[in-house]
This record gives sequence, C-alpha cells and structure tokens, in this order.
Amino acid sequence: MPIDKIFGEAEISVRRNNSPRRNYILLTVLVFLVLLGNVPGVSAQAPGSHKVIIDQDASGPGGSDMQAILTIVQSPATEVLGITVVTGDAWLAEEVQHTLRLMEIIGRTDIPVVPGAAFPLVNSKEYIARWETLHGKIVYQGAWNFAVGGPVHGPWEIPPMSEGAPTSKPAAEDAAHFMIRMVHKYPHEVTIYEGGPMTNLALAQAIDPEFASLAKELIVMGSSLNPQTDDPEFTLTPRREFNLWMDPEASSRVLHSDWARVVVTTVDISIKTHMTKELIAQIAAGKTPAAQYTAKYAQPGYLWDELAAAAWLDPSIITKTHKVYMDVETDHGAGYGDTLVWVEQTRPHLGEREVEIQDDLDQEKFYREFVDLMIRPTPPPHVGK
Amino acid sequence: MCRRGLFLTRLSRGTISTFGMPAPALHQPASTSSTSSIKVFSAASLASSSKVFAVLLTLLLFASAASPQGRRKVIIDQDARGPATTDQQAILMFLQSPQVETLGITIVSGDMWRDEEVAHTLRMLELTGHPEIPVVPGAIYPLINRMEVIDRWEALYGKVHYEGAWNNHKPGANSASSLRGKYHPPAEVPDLIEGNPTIKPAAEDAAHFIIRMVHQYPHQVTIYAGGPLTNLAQALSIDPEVADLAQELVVMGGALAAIYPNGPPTELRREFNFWWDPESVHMTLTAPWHKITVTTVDISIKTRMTKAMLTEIAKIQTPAAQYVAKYGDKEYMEYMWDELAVAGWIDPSIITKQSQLFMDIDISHTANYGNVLLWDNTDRPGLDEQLVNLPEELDSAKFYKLFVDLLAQPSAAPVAAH
Repeated sequence: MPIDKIFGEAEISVRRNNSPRRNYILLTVLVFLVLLGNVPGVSAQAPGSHKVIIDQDASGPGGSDMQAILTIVQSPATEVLGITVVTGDAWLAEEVQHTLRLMEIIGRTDIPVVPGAAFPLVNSKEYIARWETLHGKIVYQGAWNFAVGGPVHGPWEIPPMSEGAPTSKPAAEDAAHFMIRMVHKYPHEVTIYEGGPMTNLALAQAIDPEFASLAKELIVMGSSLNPQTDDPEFTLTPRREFNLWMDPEASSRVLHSDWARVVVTTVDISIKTHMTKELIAQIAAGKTPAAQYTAKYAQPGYLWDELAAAAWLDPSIITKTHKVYMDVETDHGAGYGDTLVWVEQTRPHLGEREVEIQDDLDQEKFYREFVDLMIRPTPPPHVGK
Repeated sequence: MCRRGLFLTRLSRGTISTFGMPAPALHQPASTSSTSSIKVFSAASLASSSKVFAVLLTLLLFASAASPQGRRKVIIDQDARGPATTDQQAILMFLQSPQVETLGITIVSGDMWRDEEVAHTLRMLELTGHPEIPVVPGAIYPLINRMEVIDRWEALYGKVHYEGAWNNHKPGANSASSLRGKYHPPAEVPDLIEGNPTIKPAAEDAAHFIIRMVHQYPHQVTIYAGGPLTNLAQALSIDPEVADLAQELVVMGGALAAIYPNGPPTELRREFNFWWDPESVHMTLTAPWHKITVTTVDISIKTRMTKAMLTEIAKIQTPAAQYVAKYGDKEYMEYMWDELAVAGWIDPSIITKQSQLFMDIDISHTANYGNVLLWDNTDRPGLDEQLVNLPEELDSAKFYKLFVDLLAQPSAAPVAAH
C-alpha cells in the first residue's frame, strides 16, 4: 500500500475522532510504523523492509522472467526471502539452474532458490495436444512447445547454458512448504509475487488453508481481458493468457483463496510496454554484473512480468485501475484456461475474489525506474537474515 | 510470462476493403473432408473469364433495374420484437428497398417469444403497406438450450445480462426495460399497443419454407438472419443442400472484442442471438455456404438511433416512416444491431473495412457455452469451420442516410405470390 494512502486514511480517521488524545495516539502509532519501515512505497522506506517471495517460471538466460526477478532483487526496498521456481516458460529443472546462475552472477547466492512444481496439477502437454485437434492450435505453450535458443526438450534435460552452469545448489525444501513456512514466520508481512503458472501457490494453499490469509498480498502477472492489438495471438483468443492457462485448476484454486489483496497485471496492460533497442542500450551502458547480464541476453518484446514487479515497488506507475471478480475456466471445453470476470451484480458467489486490474500506466516512469533498477549496484544481502 | 519475438512475426489478420461492390464469394475449402462439395475457383480461371464476367455483371445490373424478377431475393429470418425496435426496422429496410424482393419473413423466438413476434410482424406489415409478404412461423424453442438450464448455468457461472424472451422469467414479472413488457409464457400473446393484426401467418413452417424457396430459386436467395439461428439449423438438418443452394448468408450475431463506451465488458464473446441457441449457430456456421457475412456487436455498437434521426423520420409521410417515428425507441437510443447487417448487404460500400476469419461457437456445457470462437488459417482445427466476412468499420453518414431514405420510399410494388 502506498504511503500516501496510509496518511490519507489516517486523515479521515482524525476527522472522525475529535478527541485530541486519540489524535495523538494515532499519530504516534503512524510515526512508529513509518520508522519501523512497515509502510511500503519505494522512495520513503527503510532498506529491505519489503518481504517478498518471488514465484517465477524462470526461463533464462535473461528475458522477461529473469528481468522480473532482477527488478525485485535489485530494489534496495526489498528483502527477498526466496525465489520459488515453477514450470512455465521453461521446465522447472533448467529454470532452477538459470536462476542459481543469475544469483551467482550478481553476487546474491544468499537468496534461496527453491524448486517447486515440475508439472501442472491436471493439465499436460499430451492433453493439450488432443484439445488442439478439437479447438484449434495454441501458439505459445511455454516449455511444451518452445525453448530458448534450441529445440524443445524433456522436463529433466538441461541444455548447455550460455551464461555458464552454476556451482551453487537449490534449497532442499520444496516451494510450497517454503512459502508456508515463511508466511507463518512473518504473518501478514510477506508479499507473494507470482510471475508464472500458479501451481506452487495452489499446492501451498491445499497443504495449508491458512496460507493465503497469512500473506500480506498477492501480485500476479496473468490473465487477459480485451487486449487492444493487431497481434492475432491475443485478438483471436482474447481471454487466454499463458500463465493462468498452463495450470487452470491451480489458477482457480488460488483465485478462490482468501488473500487480503490481489493485484493483477493483465496482457492488456503488459502489451503497452516494449523492451526496445534503446532501453537495452541504456541498460548495456550500466557497468554492474546485473546490467551486463540483462543487456547481453535481452530480446525486444513485451515487459510482462517486469511491469508487475515494478508496479508493486512503485504503484504510482499505474495510472488507472478497476476491480473485478476473477476466476479461470476449469471446464474442459474450448474455453479451458480462459480468464473469467464478473462484476458484483453478475458474479456467482462461489468464493471468487475481487482483484485489482491495472488498466494503464505511465510508460516513461516505468521505463526509467526499470532501467535504474537494472543498472544500479545490486544491494548487499539483507542484514540479520 | 514470456513470449518470444518469434510469435510477433505472424501476419496480422487480413483486411479487405469493399469499393461499392459486394465482396467476392468465399470459395475456400473449410477442411479436406468437405473440399469436394465446394467449388474452388483458381486465380487463372477467374482472370480468363473476367471479361465475360464484366459483361454479365452489366447485364445483371440492367436487369435488376428493369423488372421485379431482377430484384435481389431475400428470406428475412428474424426474432421480430415489436413494435419497431431494431428487429422490425431491419425488416422494413428490406421491404422498402426497390432492389429487393422479400420472399418471406420467417420468425424465431429470441428477443420475444415467436407468437408475439408473429403478431407484431403481421401488424407492422398492415401498417406499412406490405400485407402481401408471407410471415412464416418458425421455432418457439432453441434446439437444446432452455431457460431452466440457464438458471442452473447462472448459479455456476454468473448472471447473464440479457436473456430476450426469457428475461426475468416469472409470469407477470417485469422484463428488461427494452422489452417493454412483463414476462409471459410462449403461447400467450398480449394485446399489441400498435393494435392487433387481422392478417394471418402462413400455414407452412419456417424450415420447410426456406428449403422450398432455395430449391425454387437455386443460388439466387440471400438468407438474412437477424435473430437466433434455430430455423436455419432446422432447415439444414432436414435438407443439407440448403447452404449450397442459397446465394449467401447474412447474419447479425456474435461478439469478438467490442469496446463499449462504459468500460470493458465482463463477457467479451457472448452475444444474445448466438447465445440463445448455440447448437444452431454451430450447425449453421459449419455448413458449406458460398458466402457468410457476420455483423458482430463490435461494429453494431458504432451505430446508434438518435432523437435527431427520429425527428427527421417523423417528417416523412410514408407509412413506414410514420410507423418508425411513432414506435421507434425514443428512450434508450438503441444500437442499430440488425439494421446495420441489412444495410451492409443492400449497399456494401457502407462497410469501409472488414476482415475474414474462421468462426464457430462453443457448444460445450461450460462457462464458455454460447461464446464465439475465432481462428485464422494458422490455428483453426479444420472441423468444417467456415471463413466469414466480419465488417469492422462503417461509413456512418451513408448508413444513416440509407436507413432514412429507405423509410421514405413508397411501399414497393407486390410481386407474384410464391
């Protein structure tokens, strides 16, 4: 929550409560909170005050997934408790290796890399192949039909890594148990950032129904409503989005869990961002290992996950939002995995959650802050961890 | 999420412009299994016969101006809410055009129940001077879909905003405001505010009428459908030759990615006509028509009735104009859903941009039931889905002018009975 919003609410409370003594207490509490650094908002907070778990389908080297991880790790305002990895853009095993290597390159091997789900709960590559014969081809299927710089391969194969293989090892714990442990250790303090399919989150929620309610908030890159573009990948099936589609059952489970807050970066707004050659050149001018890594492997394209990450760090990047109730279709028809949304008057009342949809952004501000994060020195490991 | 540049290199969906001429018929095989039943014109044969074609076209144009027999034949299949509204106004555009010969109006439940629609249509024909046009009752119910099933569906998947004749379906309850009435069962026809008709509907049913007409005038009849497609599905089921024997199919239905003035819709791909009877839409859109044009919500909401237009129409002294002026919607200023589909057929130059994509509807009993499915040539499943013309942009001034001009036409001379 942005700091000005806290103060805005406090002012309303002050007006409601005329007692000077109550005002004094309220202000004292507020000042105390600010000093503790528990109030988010990048510019005005103590270093490392923002506890976050990065749940990511971490295809690499470079690209949207790694750049999103970097956006959060490079911010001095965050304390990254761990990076939990899930199959999505690539398979889990290779994603873990790419993530470990990135942490080595930027000197943050203190951040645990925690392996999560290798496969969606119900959906599978083989099932989708049959589904396609009935309902049409799906252009992008992540690890199932695409691999960075090489042929599509099986889940356990790790092709040679152009950035070099890591020597560090992943955590022994699995993603779901790690996340559960963290939200119990820091109740209502941990932001869950989700940049990939929701399998790990659904598993955590299934194991511990308290999981979502103990987290502070859920930040999601996923879903698609009505993207305005000429790209047929999005116009022909405007409600299909890869992250939510790859594991529809997990998405539905997570979107029916009692989060205190859910913020969603959709395809609609993501495609208003572009990783241009100019941006890559600006990052290439940075001398830090993070900047050099990013620039070396960057490709022109949309800044899907980076926008979700950056808008969490600085909500003022987002200039327009609206709220809807959201779910994902789990029926096995032509709409399997598609985004469902309702307003209050039309929703079915089956536990679906209200989410904040980002509609528009200040592009220049986003690009500036993203480049700044990529080229700044990587913050040292969080003290007292 | 991450998508690589690889996928951005795909071609944007093709657009074609219509320069005052009907777009060419689509002789595209829908799949290997149905190729044999569809004529495929090669580019070479088209080029060599282009001179002959031009001469024929000139002759045709002369013929159409010269005699009633040269008029473009149409069957109007409509969910004919009344009085006026988009349904009756769309019908009137055909009836008022001197270039059009209306073989009959086949009625289907949709915006209202069939029998009430039949009464409104008969009365409209009396009031506007077209009493000779056959009104042929069609389907009362969709093939599979039922309002009781939709109740259960809504409990799972959320409330459907507009349900036509099913709206608020408790006897006596107020229907949606634009229905202007209370819910009643299908066989009940309340007294009409415009007066009850004295003329009678045809004894034949809609499906058999459609079949008989396309056999009587092979490759000459346009089938226009402004409502649910139940009648067409019945006709195709009884006689699969209907699609091939018709000249073309013109439909108002479906929604793709419409941009509404009041913000993003929650239901992007749901549109009433298609949603009411999804199975019929699937049967119709997978039949081998020579040409299909679908006017979707996306372009329909770029039109609107205005008070200024109604004022202008009120000054015209023809019965058709007076009917619209008296009963036309003055409160909601509705989108001109069906009128636009008609106008694009009467004068294709009104459509300034259109695309071609493969279209079907989801008939799985899921959250997506009744929603439009769309593909291009690279991702379609090849299960008889057809390439359809999708008007995207219009010349609004030309459209509104055509609508008003048609209402100002004297009622067209009757043609011999069929």
